[in-house]
Amino acid sequence: MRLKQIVQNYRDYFVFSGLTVIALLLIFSNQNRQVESVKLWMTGLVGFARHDWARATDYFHLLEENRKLLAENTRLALQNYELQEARLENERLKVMLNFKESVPMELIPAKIIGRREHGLIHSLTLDVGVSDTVRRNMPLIVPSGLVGKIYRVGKNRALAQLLLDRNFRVSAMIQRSRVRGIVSWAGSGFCLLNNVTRRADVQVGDTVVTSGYGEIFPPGLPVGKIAAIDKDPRSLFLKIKVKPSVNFDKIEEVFIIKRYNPESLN
Amino acid sequence: MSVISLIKYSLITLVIIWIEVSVLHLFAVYGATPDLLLILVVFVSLREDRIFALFFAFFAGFFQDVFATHFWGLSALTKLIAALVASGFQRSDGYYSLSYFATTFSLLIFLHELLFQFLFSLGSEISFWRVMWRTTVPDAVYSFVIALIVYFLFQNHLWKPKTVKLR
Repeated sequence: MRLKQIVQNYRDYFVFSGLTVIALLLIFSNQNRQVESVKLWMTGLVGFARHDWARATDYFHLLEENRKLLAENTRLALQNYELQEARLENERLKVMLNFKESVPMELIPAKIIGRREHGLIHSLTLDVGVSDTVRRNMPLIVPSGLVGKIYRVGKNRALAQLLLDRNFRVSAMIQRSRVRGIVSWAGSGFCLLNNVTRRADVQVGDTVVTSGYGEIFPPGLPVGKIAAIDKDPRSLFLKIKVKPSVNFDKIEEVFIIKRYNPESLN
Repeated sequence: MSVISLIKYSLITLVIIWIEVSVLHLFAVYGATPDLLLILVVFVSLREDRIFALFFAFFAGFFQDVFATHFWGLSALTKLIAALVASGFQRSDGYYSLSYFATTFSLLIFLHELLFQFLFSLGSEISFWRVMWRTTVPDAVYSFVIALIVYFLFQNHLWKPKTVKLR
């Protein structure tokens, strides 16, 4: 009843609306430039609306996208880190390979997989063992010099005693003057070259190398350089501080000397 | 609304459309031509019931589209809008003074021409203002002059008092 009344009251406008719709349908049934331009304009309008709506809805996806990007960023950062590690390892291995080829020794490459620095004990765990023909007391070297020696061997693992260890001793000599002594760790980043008499020819900067005495270390392996000489008038011997040639903090791979030819070294 | 009136309006419409199609171009002044059918639509809208006026405007415009403009729906829509607006100016006593008629008609004809020419010029490279000054205004003025002539010629016949329903 109410609807009928509304229709009755506004019938003029209903008629007008109906006729307008028919007129518009007639207009859009034409195929002329006017209608085409209107269609083109409407297409642009719809496209604009859709584009803007798409932009608006994009904001709702930002959180998800941000999370994905963060995960991707982390993954790429890790990948980048791995690549950098691979590059550095490659550089190290290149140096090691060149060294291996240049020395007249049979070397066993080994990777450091553990490090023990507890009090006076300094040791390394290596990824090689008896199965790799590693034996006790084999010397450990890197291109820059002497590292230590093997003191315990398992099937696939080996423990190495470092020059930094208080109990480590090696017979050494000054390369220039051939003055001999015994090198041991003194702490604070220095070794001591002991048993060198006061009148020996020693200078700061002299290179100290292994002497070859004993049956463990081949002669001529760099041990370090003389950093300071203390001439105590009450002592018969000099107190010679030697800076090790190896940076023990940076080594990651080492060589174990399996066999060497003393003649070729001499 | 009698059947005679309906027939009368229909015949006048057909005559006007025939004139517009065949001879109106002979009376063009600098390219401007009057919209005779619009004058009729406005007169009908001021005299008759609004619904009749709307239907009349729509069908008269449609015939004009079919025979004259060849743009289906264009005149039907513009005449329909003109009829709706014109019927809003309808007076209850059925009498229209010259000033009232002139004001109402000038407004209606300008509105109609504006809408018609705007839609007609869509998609063309001619600017809206150029169409406005070259076509809309001259056609509106010409139609207005003709409407005034019709007003003076037929005022006694057209504006006889009649009973109109109050809205």
